[in-house]
Amino acid sequence: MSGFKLPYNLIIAGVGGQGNVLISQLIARVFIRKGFTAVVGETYGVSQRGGSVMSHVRISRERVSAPIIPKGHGDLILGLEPMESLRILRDFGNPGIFTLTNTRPVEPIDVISGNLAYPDLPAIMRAIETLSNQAWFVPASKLALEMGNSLFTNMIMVGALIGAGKLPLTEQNFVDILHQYMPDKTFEDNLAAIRKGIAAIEKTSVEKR
Amino acid sequence: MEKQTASFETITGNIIGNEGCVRCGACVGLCPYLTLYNGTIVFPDKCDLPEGRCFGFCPKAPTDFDEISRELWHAPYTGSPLGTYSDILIAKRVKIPASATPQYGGIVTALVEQALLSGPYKAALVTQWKERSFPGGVVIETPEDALKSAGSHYAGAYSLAAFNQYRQRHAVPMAVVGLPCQTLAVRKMARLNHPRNPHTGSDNLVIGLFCTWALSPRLFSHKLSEWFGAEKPGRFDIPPPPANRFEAFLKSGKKEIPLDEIRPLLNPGCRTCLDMTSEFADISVGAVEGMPQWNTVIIRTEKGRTLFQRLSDSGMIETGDLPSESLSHLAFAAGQKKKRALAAAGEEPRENSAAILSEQARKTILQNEETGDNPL
Amino acid sequence: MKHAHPITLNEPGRVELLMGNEAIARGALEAGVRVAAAYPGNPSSEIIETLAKAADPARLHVQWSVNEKVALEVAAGASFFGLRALAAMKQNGLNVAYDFLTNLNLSGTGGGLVLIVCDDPGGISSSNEQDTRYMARLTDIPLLEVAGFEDARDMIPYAFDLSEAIGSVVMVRSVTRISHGRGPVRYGPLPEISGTPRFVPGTTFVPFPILTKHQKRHDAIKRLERDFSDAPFNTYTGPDTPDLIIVTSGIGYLFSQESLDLLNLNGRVGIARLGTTWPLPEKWLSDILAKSQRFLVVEEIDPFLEGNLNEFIGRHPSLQRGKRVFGRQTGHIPDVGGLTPEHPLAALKTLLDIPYKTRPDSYETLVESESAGLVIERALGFCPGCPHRASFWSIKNALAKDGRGGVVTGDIGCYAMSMWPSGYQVAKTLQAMGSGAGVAAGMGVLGPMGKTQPVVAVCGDSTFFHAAIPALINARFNASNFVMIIVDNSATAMTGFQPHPGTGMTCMGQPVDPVEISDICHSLGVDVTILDPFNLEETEETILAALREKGIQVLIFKHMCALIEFKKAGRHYVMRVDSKKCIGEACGCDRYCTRVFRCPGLIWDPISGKARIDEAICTGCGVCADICPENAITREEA
Repeated sequence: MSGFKLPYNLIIAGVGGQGNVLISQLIARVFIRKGFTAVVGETYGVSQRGGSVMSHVRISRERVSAPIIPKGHGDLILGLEPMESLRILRDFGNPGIFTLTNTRPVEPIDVISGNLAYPDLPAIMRAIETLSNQAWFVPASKLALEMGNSLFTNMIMVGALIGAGKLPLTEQNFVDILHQYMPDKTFEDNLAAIRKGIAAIEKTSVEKR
Repeated sequence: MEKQTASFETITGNIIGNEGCVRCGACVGLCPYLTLYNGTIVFPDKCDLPEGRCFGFCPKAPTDFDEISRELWHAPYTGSPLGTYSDILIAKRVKIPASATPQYGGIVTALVEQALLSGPYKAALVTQWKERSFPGGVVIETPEDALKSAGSHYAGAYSLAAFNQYRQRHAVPMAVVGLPCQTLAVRKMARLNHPRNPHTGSDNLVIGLFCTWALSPRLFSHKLSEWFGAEKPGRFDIPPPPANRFEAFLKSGKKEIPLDEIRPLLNPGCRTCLDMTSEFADISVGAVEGMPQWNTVIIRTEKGRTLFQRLSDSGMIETGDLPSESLSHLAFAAGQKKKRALAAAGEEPRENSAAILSEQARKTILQNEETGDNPL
Repeated sequence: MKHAHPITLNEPGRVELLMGNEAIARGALEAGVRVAAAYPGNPSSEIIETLAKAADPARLHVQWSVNEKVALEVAAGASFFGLRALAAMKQNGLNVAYDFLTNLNLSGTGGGLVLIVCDDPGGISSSNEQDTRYMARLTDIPLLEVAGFEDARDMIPYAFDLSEAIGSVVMVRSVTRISHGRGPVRYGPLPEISGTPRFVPGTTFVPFPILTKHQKRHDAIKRLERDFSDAPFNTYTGPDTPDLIIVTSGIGYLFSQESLDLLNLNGRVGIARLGTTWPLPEKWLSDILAKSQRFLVVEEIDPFLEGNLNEFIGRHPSLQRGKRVFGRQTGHIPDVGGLTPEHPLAALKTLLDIPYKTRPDSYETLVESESAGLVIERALGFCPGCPHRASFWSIKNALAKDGRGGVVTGDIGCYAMSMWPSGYQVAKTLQAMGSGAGVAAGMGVLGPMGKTQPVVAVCGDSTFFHAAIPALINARFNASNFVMIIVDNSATAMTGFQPHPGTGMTCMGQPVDPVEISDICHSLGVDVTILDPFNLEETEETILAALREKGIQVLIFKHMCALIEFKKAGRHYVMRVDSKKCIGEACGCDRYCTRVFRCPGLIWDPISGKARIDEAICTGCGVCADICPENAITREEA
């Protein structure tokens, strides 16, 4: 697993209501189960109502890290929304960072209401690509809707994280944890979503640096 | 990236907010941003369109008097005291129905009745107050309803709001009764090039009223309930100077109020109005000095002439000549109003000097004879 | 998830990923807490929510109290009966409880009594930024500061022991970054719960004689200056003779560690981490101060530790020579706001003159050029279908129609967003819980001095119970004049839907008769009208009528929080926009529903130039059908 230095700084970027909190907890639990130490830093409160939300997951051995990643020290961004991925890259990016992002925008209220335009999506994606060592764009929302429920978006992104191969994570790691917390049917659906995410990662993209 | 809110902000800020509004109602009834409530205009939210109908219709927004004059008479606006007309005479209704409380000779009501009887006008905009807390515009479709509206209210009643609303549903020719500001607005409405203008190409008949000034509907009706409680006067009058009083006619009799108590209720926007006799109407109607049973009638356009002719032919009214002394007094008063308005406009912010006048018209107005008489 | 909070497992050694507040709750369980009370408030709410999962009437009583003062009183009641008890609150809550606390300190306690206060540096989910540590010192009670997740568990049993040892309430302070962060926590054993509550005959808990009791507190603090030198939460790591020592507490500890790692300073700089920040441990701190000449204090929020450290040095002439203390007072860390890892990093760079760049200049340039104009802000707003939107829509319209320049006093809750575009910028004042009513009561007596503007107070249901009732009684007593609008969404929605007296359910899941807000108001002899704010016309007319009345008019706008109602009952209506009727941006509408009404369930489609419904998030409340000027929005029963 090249590039897995500790502490490993993972940022989950999204919008209030997208489920950052659950993903960050899930990933942290998986690592704790694997014998690592993990901490999660989250923004709560009014950010639940349509604001930008980010969760920091920091993985280490023994020593507990601060729950907030220093600026410019992100190792990987798991973005549930493209503009949010770029927002996080601006503050936490560096030439070595990896970015996985869902491609479906969640429009801010000022865009919904027609007062502002959502920034040009291809330009956002180009910027993400330029500012990342390697970037993956996953149509997770689309795939989730194909599965019949937009709620699967998160698990598809988790699958993409496994598939990207930058972290020592396997499908089995998540199977163990998810099974604990879910009824069988839900578990099967979530596992299917993870598999869809793994498959969605393009193996062809190359590291720049 | 907020857009400029030129139209709406000018209306609500410069005109209404800066006391330039004359309560004509031309901007109301078109959208949720400018609405009426209890005799006043309210605007809880901002519209951000740069070119709204509100601004295009408003008689206090910049208005080229020459253009409107040319359209009606193929001649520029001269600034003469009574405007352009072909005839001026007096008239009165032969028999006034007992239920009505018309002003002077009852000619306005008769004209409305006639317009609806002989067409092509399918509806008429009038102002009503009886059975309402505040005066307001009402569209009537039968001659019988005309009588209910008789009597002057002395209040700018936003009646054009009802005109706007009706026109959005019914594209029919209408007879519109209005104060000078409202006759001007009706002309602007017909002219405005706007995709959603409900008045585009409308063929209206405009019956203009004489007006020295108008009162704020909300302030006036609050004052009335203060003075008279629940009882509402049938009509009002201001006898010529030096009476210096305002008269209200109630069931219990005539009540007199000193003009000084009326002045604070005045629409400040009326100070800059150039027009006393509804110069852009097809036909204008007002009082006759010293002849309380009669109306002065000014026939201005062919349309006005046709209607008045039909009314005469119907035998409903009798007519006579306006005494030359009355004519000169009327012209003098109208000229004085123009002069005062021009002076007042000079003191206002530029954007409130709504009338765009030629140098010649301006000169004509200023050359009107001096007087010490200034009723309000 | 089946066991989202396996907080009750008696499995010593088990490691769980816990939120700081959950770790505090676990610590309380391990300490054998019997009564826990709180009023919800971020970032403290999860302490009680977690404890509620372990609640059991015979062993552990957990409650949402109506306010923080009552919560602390409830906990004190249990303490007076010899039980271990805790009260939890956010910083604003301590202000509410403070009157009680400043007498409780003198009267003393029975069973261990721990007061947990979670400060919110930066005011992330608060109406203010406030460092409550001063209030512990002011009250002569010991102050412990949680510095991490494991700490949060460890410190609570210690605090209970300490409370019982000194017969005083003990304050434990956490902050947002710990309370709402998550980290691994190793479980200790859960004790056997036993013992019957008993008020020991002959004991008293009174502040009298005052001076004797005050002296007793000062003596206890003196004793702790000595004893805290052995406290397990005061640690020093680093070289014996460091160039500089970071003195820190709370989240500052982890950020300081991070800074030393990043700057490679572990050999030059030491970290003295204080868990007992009041009183300061005399001997321990003297030893630390002897190690170096320069000290950087890293703390949230105000320079509490920094000031106390300077005072400590001033009291110890032997320590004075050449000592320099840096921190917020010296501008090495910003004056206000929460800490980030960058703060100690920047201070160390300055103090030790270290060149350090997080990322190359070329990348900084790239960030600027590539992302320019591509990231826009996300404004906060009411949820789709929120009854508050409808309420403030009508309040806004009614005030415009009334035309006298009416003033709206706001209050704390989701509806505080009414000062922003989502609530049409209706509210013009905002202070503490219940202040909307109190401030309105003051405005409402100004009529005889010529005030013409009507006054409207807005208050939520939970806020009403918390602090608005005395203000309302006061208003009634002093013949004030205003309209009090209670936006009753049957929830403490802002902080996560905790039950309150009006909801008919306790936090232990026990059904109780709801306390009716209208009954309380009726009993005061004020006029009460209850209506559904989704009925826009009636709501607006009712407000307009109330504005014309004298005295106090209470209007209860009752409609369940959209998030709860949608979960419970689904969509009431299926909404559609008739695109033939929708005139979009044209004069006469100008995107009235999307631009002005601003429900996120309504989307402006710039391509078609029409509005449409976002079926994924529309809750089907039906209100937008009533505001469309062209009647283009239709509703059908779902």
